Amino acid sequence: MSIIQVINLVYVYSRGTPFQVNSLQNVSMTVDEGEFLVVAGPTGSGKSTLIQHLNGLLKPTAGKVVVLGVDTTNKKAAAGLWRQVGLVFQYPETQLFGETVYEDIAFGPRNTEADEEQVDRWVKRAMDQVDLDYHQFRDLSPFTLSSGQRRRVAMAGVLALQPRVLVLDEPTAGLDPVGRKRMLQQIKGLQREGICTVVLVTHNMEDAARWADRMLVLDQGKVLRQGIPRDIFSRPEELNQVGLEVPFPATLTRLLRESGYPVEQLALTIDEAEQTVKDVRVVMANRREMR
Amino acid sequence: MLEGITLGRYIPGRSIIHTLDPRAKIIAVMLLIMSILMAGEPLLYLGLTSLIVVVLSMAMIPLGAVWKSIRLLWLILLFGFVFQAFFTPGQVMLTLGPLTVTREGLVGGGTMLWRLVNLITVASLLTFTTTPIKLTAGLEYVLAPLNRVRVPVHELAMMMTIALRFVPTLLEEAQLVIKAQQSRGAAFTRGSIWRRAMSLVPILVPLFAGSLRRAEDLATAMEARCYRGGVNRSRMNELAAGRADRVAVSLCTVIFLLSAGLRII
Repeated sequence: MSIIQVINLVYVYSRGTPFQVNSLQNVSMTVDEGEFLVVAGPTGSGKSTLIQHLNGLLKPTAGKVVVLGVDTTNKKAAAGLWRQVGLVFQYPETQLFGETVYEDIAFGPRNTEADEEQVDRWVKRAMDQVDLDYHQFRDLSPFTLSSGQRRRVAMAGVLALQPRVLVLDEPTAGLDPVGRKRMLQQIKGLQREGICTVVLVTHNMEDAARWADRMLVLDQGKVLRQGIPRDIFSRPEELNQVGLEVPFPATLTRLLRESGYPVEQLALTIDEAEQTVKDVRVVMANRREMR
Repeated sequence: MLEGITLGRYIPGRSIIHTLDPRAKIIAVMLLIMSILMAGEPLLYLGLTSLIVVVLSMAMIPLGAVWKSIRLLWLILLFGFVFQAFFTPGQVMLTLGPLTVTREGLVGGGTMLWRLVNLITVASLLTFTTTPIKLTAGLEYVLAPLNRVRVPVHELAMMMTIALRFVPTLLEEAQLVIKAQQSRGAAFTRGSIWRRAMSLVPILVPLFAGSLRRAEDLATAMEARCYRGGVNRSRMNELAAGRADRVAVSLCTVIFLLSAGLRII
């Protein structure tokens, strides 16, 4: 069941000035309950603009955005959307302001009608979800932490509100490979455990292939493709044209198939590719014996 | 909230106004500003405004951009006008309870409004059509005589350029931080004055932290290119004034003399 519907969305930045940019043109998409949706696309394709519509920060210039049954142009109803749709911006660690980690994460909960006891529980749970030890970190100043830790504090600040949909804009930008994998595993965990639906923005196709249930590919403010990763990567021409690379495992298995080897489906991760190659070898060996 | 503010920004173009020598533009703008301040005749108002409009269209600056720079200050403009209209003694035109609007007040307020709008437009015209680098070069040249009295002209000009350069960056960053905190339920228009003031903390702290970080990065980048102030610093593109520049400055000088002359007479 879809919990967000975007219908023919058009958005124009700085209308009427020389800096006017037509950011989104006729974008239609849905987010289904419980899924892990990756929004991919080259820089400037409108990814960040699109996701700011999902919690009502931006209002459509034309078209419609319906989130959990609420039309975001309905001012009153949309005012509460921030609790349902948590938005983690790019480099969220630059938005920290609290004197302590605790104070910062508690900012969102305190903007609700929750009492201090509830706030405390929410903060604890959120810190747990991003793997920050509550007692060790609660009284530290966020400015003394490493940037990876700061990013997790910022994420906890959004998670503390228990949003039904968690939207993240390039959450792994600037992280090292280990931090990157760990961050994505945590996010995947939240979705798998049914804690929230995830919408993740990235231009990294390896990540998209590995983690997405479904993908939306944007280019120049328009929807280029929408579907499951295996389908999207089976036709690389379009992606290459807009400057997106198909992940190596998918390309490898596609080329094998095109050369006549018995490949059932495209591999999305290195592990899958390895398994596919092994399977192919077994099948080929059997064929040789039969002859 | 802060989207599309054009104050102090450069709008790229290839018009004759864009290609004028920055020194000529600075001097012309200073002359025009003095003319606007001194002009007393309705005919002169009309003349100056039409000149500005002509220059705007020559530079192909859309009126929308000008409006966006003025819009920032509309409250001040409106307040000034209303204040003048109500509190200037003279011939009463309209009475609202204890307050009266006078003819002299309306004229005075109108003149002031006209002056301010034209001043903002002329000043914006300079930044709209001049890249920050050219602007600094021009300013440094125009202010060079102050070096004699030990004013660090190069440093001042550089500071001004950097400030101008970072206006759009900081606005963008402020907008982003505001959005991020709104996504966590921050409300800036609710509650008592104290609460509203406190609601700015989540915006100002990240903004200051970000500015410090940027300043540090910029200092490193400048040092990496061996920047060490104005002494013996040369330019890649030397300024060269041409015919068009002389025409522009002469025209503005005539206008200035006219305004000043009419004022004295």
